[in-house]
Parts: sequence; C-alpha cells; structure tokens
Amino acid sequence: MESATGLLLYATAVLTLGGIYAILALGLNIQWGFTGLFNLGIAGFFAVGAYSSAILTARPSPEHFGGFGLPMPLGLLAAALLAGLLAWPIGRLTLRLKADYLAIATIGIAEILRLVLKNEQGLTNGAVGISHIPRPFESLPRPYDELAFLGMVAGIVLVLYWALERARRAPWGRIMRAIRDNEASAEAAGKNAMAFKLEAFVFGSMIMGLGGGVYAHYVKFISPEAFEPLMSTFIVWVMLVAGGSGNNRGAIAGALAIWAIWSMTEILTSQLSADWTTRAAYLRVFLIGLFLQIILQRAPHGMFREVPPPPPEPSSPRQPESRSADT
Amino acid sequence: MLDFVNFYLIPGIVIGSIYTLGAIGISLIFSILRIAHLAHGDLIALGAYFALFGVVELGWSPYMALPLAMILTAATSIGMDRLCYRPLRRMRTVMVIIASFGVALMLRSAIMLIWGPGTEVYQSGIQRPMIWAGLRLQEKHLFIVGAAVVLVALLHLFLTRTTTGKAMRAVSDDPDLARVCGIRTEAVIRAMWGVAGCLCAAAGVFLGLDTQLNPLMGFSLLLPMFAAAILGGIGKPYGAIVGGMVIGIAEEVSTYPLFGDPLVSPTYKAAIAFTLMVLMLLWRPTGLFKGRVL
Amino acid sequence: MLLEARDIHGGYGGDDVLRGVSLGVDPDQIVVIVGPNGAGKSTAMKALFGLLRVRAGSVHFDGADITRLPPEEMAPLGFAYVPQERNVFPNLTVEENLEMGAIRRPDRKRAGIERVYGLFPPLRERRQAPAGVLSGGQRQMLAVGRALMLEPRILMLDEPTAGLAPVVIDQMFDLIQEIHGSGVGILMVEQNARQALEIATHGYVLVGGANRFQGTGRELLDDEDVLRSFLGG
Repeated sequence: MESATGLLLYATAVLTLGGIYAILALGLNIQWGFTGLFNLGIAGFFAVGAYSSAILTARPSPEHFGGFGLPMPLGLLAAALLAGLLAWPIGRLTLRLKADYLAIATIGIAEILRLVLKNEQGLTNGAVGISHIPRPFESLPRPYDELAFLGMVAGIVLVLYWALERARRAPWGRIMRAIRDNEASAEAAGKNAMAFKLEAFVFGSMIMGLGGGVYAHYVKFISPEAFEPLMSTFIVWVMLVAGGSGNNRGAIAGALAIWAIWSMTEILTSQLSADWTTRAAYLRVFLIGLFLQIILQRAPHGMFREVPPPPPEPSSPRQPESRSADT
Repeated sequence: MLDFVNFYLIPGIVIGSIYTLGAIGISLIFSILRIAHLAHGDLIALGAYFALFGVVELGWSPYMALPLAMILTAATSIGMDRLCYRPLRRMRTVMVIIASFGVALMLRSAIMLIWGPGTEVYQSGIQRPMIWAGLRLQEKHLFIVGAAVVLVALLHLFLTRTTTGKAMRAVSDDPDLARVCGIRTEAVIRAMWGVAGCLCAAAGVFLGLDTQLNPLMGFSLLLPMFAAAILGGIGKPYGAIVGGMVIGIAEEVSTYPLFGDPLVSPTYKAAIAFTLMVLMLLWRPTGLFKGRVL
Repeated sequence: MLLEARDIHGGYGGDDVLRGVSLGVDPDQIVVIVGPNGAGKSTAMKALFGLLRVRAGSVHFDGADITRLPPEEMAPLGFAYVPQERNVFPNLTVEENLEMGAIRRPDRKRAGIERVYGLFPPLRERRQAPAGVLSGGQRQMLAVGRALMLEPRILMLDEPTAGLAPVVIDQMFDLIQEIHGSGVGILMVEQNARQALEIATHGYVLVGGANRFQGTGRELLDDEDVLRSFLGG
C-alpha cells in the first residue's frame, strides 16, 4: 500500500513537471516551430512569469515586494502578460535582423534578469527567493491534492494544444510558415513579416510566462537558481527538437519523454554514493548535450514530423505550401 | 586621476584584451561559417583548464603552459567541428547554432567532471606590482596585454601573408567562388578552428591569470564577447579589437565613483555589455565597421 | 571530346530545370550556348562544374566520369569556370584574387600572374586595390584572369559580356579569341548570341532546358528557325 501510493505520487510529480515543460515547449513551438524565431532565453520569460505570479499571490512579507494574496488565476494572467511585455521590446529590436541576434539578445536578457532577481532584495528577496506561494487544491488529502493539480496542468496543456492547433490550421499559421520558410516571398506577397514575427514571439513568450506561473504554484518556493539556462532553456530546446519542431503533439510528447528520462536518470544516480552522485550530475548534463547532437544528426525532424494542414478551399487566398526543411 | 588609471582604466584594458581575443575568434568563425558560435566561451574555459593541467601536473608556469593549452584547444576545436558541426554543414545554420549550445554544455560539464566545480588559480600568493611613474603595473597584466598585441599582429600576418590565411579571407568573401578556384573549403575550415582554438586558449589563460578559474568562467564571457563582436561589426575580426576594448574599459570604468558612489553597481557590470550591444543594434546594427547583418 | 555532357537532367531541388542537355567541347573549339531566358544555359554550366546536383546523365572530362566530383576538384583537371555574378573576391586585392586562382598550382603562380598582367595591363596598375572597387569591365578582366591562372584546358564563361559597354564587349570577344589561340577550349553562354556565334566554331541552342538546335556557328547564324525563335541581337 505504501509503495503503491509512493509510486503514484512519483508518477504524478513526473507528469506534472512534464506538463509544465510541455507548456514551455508549446510556447517555443510557436516561436521556433511555426515562425523560425530563435529564442535562447526561455529562462527569462519563465522566470518573469514565476516571479510575477508569486509576488501577486503570496502572503505579504517584509522580505519582498508584493504579497498581495491575490487569487491564482490573476497571478497566472499577470504572469503571461508581464512575460509578453518583456518580449515586445526585445522582439522589436532584433526580429528585423538575422536569427543569431535574437539568440544572443535573448541569452543576454535571461542572464540580466537573473542578475536582477538575485540582487534586487527589495523586489524579489534576492538569492533567498520567495516562499509560501499558495497552491490550489492544497487542502485536499494526499494523493488527491497532487492529482488535482496534475489535472489542472493537463487541462491547461489540452486547452493550449487545441488553441494552437486551430491557429496552425488558420491563415495565421500559414502565414507564419510562409514567413519562416521564405520571408522574402512572403513580404513580396504583401505580408508584414515583422508584425507577424513579433506576434508569434510575444504569444510564445506569454505562454512561457504562464508556464512559469504554474511552476511557481506547484513548487511553492522559487529562487533565481531555478531559472538557470540548463533546466529552463536548453532542456526545452532538446524537448522540442526531439519531439518534432513545428508539431504541437511533438512538443508535448518531447517534453514528457525527455522529462521522464531525465527524472529516471536522477533516480539511478541518487542510488550511487555521495561522491559519485555529484559527478553523475555533471555526467547527465554531458549526456543530454550529447543526446542533442545525436538527434540533430540522426533525427532532426524529431518524433513527430511537421504535417502541413490541407490546402485551403479555393475561395480563400492560396498560400504556397512549404515543406518542413532543414536543408 | 592616478587612481582612475590604476584601478579602472588599466584593469579595463586588461579585460578588454581578453574580450578582444574572444571576439576576434567569434567574428572569424562567423565570417566563414556564418554562425554565432555559442560554445566559444566554454572553449575559452577549456583552454584555461588545459593550461591548469600543465601548471599542476607538469609543474610549469602558466606562461609556459600557454603553448600547450593552445595545441590542445586547437585540437579539441577541430575535433568538435568534425564530430558535431560538420555533419550539419548542409542544414540551415540555426541547427549548427543549436548544436553549439549543446557543445557548450558538454564542454562545461566535462570540465566539472575532470576538475570539479570549485575555483582554481594558477599561482597562489599575492604578486607585488611594479610602480613606474605612479602607475601600478602587475607583471601578469603586462604579459596579457603584450601577448594579446603579439597574437593580433600574428593573426594579421597570417591572414595577409600566408596562402591559407588568404584562402580563409576568400572563403569568407564567397565560399562558392572559393570552391570554383579549387580551394578546399573543409581544409580552410579546419585551419580556422585551429586558429580560433589558439585564440581561445590564450583568452582563457589570460583570464585565469587575471582572476581565477572556475567551470562557469566561459559562460560569463559569452555576452561581453558577442557584444564586442557586434559592436565592431560581426564578421569583421579587426572591428572586434575596437569592440573588445570598448566593452572592457566601459565595464571597469562604469564602477568608478565619479560622484561618490560607483556610477554602476558592480553587480550589474554584466549588464554594461548587454546595454552597449542593445544601443549598437538600435543605432547601427552593422556595427562600427559595417559587418554583416542579414 | 575533352569535356562532354551526356543527357543531363537536374536542377535546384524540386523540379528539374535541365531535361536532357548534351554537349561537348574540345581544346580547338569555341563552343557557344545560346537560347531564350530561362532556357537553363547558366544552370547547365553549373551542372557541368559540380555546383548543382545532376539527377540523371553524366559529365566526362578527358574520359573520366566527373559527374559526382565536387567543384574544388575541377581545378586540378584543368577545367576553369567564370561565373556571371560574384566572380571576384571583393575584399581581396587584385593580386590576391589571382593568387587564389593558382592555389592548386602554387609553382605556376608567379608566371601566371605575369601572363594575366600581360593580357590585361590595367590590372597590373591596380594590383593592390581591393577587387570590390574595380569598374565592371576591370572586374570582368580580373574574373577571367583568375580562371586563366590555372592554365586550363577548358575555360567556361557565363555571359562574359553582361553589363559591359559596347566597346568593351568587342574587346572581350577579341580577348576570348586570343585566349583560345593559346590552346584553350572555350565554352561560353552568351546573350549577345549573334556576336558570339560569329566567333564560335560550334553552337548549341537550348530551349526549355533541353537541346533544340546545334551546328557550327555559321550554320546556326544562317538557320531561319534559329533566327526566328530568338536571335534578336
């Protein structure tokens, strides 16, 4: 009985965090998969979302700003909005330039943000972090509180999936793909590429902010350490590439699969002696980097290839169908 | 005034020299492969640690260990390209950039595996600075700036006087035409990684000399180096010199207590480079020397 | 035939631009490829030089099958190519551009440079100038000069007179004949079809990515069908 509950709780935890990562991956999919935008600062939007929701919903505390005790849905809304607000100026500045510039700018923003989070004691309580973030369904008995939260995450993922699938099939999605595959001809066809790319970048970032908010309520305690690039940016990229960029199902599947593997390797290494456990932690990072190389070389399309939706009815304007190409 | 020079300007020149070496490498790689090499910082860290190996295991001074570090880092760069980047040569360049993100993590974790996560130094103990007309000059700082100047001069000679160097410039101008001439682009790319590896090793050893070594030292350089390369004009190795010095000096000078308190809090030094980069992108994305943008 | 293309099919991925092109060049020939815009003339040259994928058919040089050979291996064979656009290195000096031409034959570098300056005196005067600041005509000279550094047996030229002033065009055609005179086979795509065919020993007319007419320069110039279909100027 004990171990069965333990197993259930463990599985729930893996699925919940996997689901949160799925939210991040779906956000990245809008930016990269749909539109070809190279965001390497996921950690930044993730952090803004988490801290926004935490500050708004936590109890008042002398240690940090806010603590307005607002209900969680408002916190999540703020998380998304503030992340989008952060994305907008970055996008405006760099989207008209080569992809590399967005990459460097987003890396920079994420790092600067972490600096601010670590140092602005008054705002964020610095390196100590914000604790006692309220979690919904807390009052329920184990394991139902965990299951309920998982249900909420699953619900969010499904709603996002549904919305993004609709967007993908809609003219909006087509235009994004056209811009991704050949910006010059999309512009020639009269589409304002910059405006569309900015939209995609901001929406994707808002979803990442939402993910951050959900994360904050799940773990109930956040600090700048939680938002370092490996676990908040790199791993999401691996998830999307492995799952299949351009494909929403791929984003979700990649997130769950990679997170499951990562969690299980954590169990394996925790069985080792203390000395080996720390070394093994670095080994795991090495292996996930290696894993990415292997996927890029052997299976760049990931588990789920991008499937362009069927061409529109003759009455709507024809857009050129494009292949998901890595050439 | 003397205080300003000794404690702000000179350190700025020293760190600027290090950024310059890194930014030149980044610009060189971009000019030939058209990628932002995100593993560059960690390659620099690797160079520093290779020299540490020479210092600790072989008992050499860090100055003597520098050539060893260069050879090992050059070899690693060529190997890294062969295994991780060359297979992706035909794909969109963003795929290689993603790969380099992964390579960066692999290099960093390899360093942590082999040398552990703590900090190291080449030589413990305080070195007394030399005083010369009121200027406080540490031997290692003279070495760093002097060696950086020599390396840049050697690079210039390489690019303008040797066939391989000219071939590199040709490939950077037009890789298709280069192939039409009979230039073997893969050989040129190999040579480029060798050169970049040497520059990274130097930057790493210099940084280790100036401050200390830790596995994250490379990642912390990434933003200032890219900012320097962008400032100078990405793809223009000579512009990187100006960019590197500007960023380095700006970072150090920004903490000068002009009106009592430091202009910028030292904790936010890292934001200086980012801010300068953003300003340059707003004003003139091609950089000071008109590098490539689109 | 020293250089021979047999029934080439290929293109840039997607649909084939070339749908069955055959031609040949010997060192004692000036062969001209003409045809309407979009006929695939430049594409055929790129296919011959290994710059794009040949889906079917083959290319032979000196009897050996070079269909899958990458472009950088053409130089050692004695096969040189001057593209129409972007045919010099703008940030290298005139002399450095020429040096790149001889990179696979470093022993012949000095002699080659002297020969090119002999053919194109204005280049000697501007030897240290970056190629990017040269005039159109000088750039074309440099592009051809670079290709000659290889002492090629076959020289391929893609629209050598494009964008040149009429006086310079005449000079270019004279030059081509002079180069041919020293034993180099010429394969040339030209929009100035009439003038080109007048100096040609052989000509091929490509339409829609395939051979349509061929014959000696004289024959094609006199042919009613050829004249009618496109020989405007």
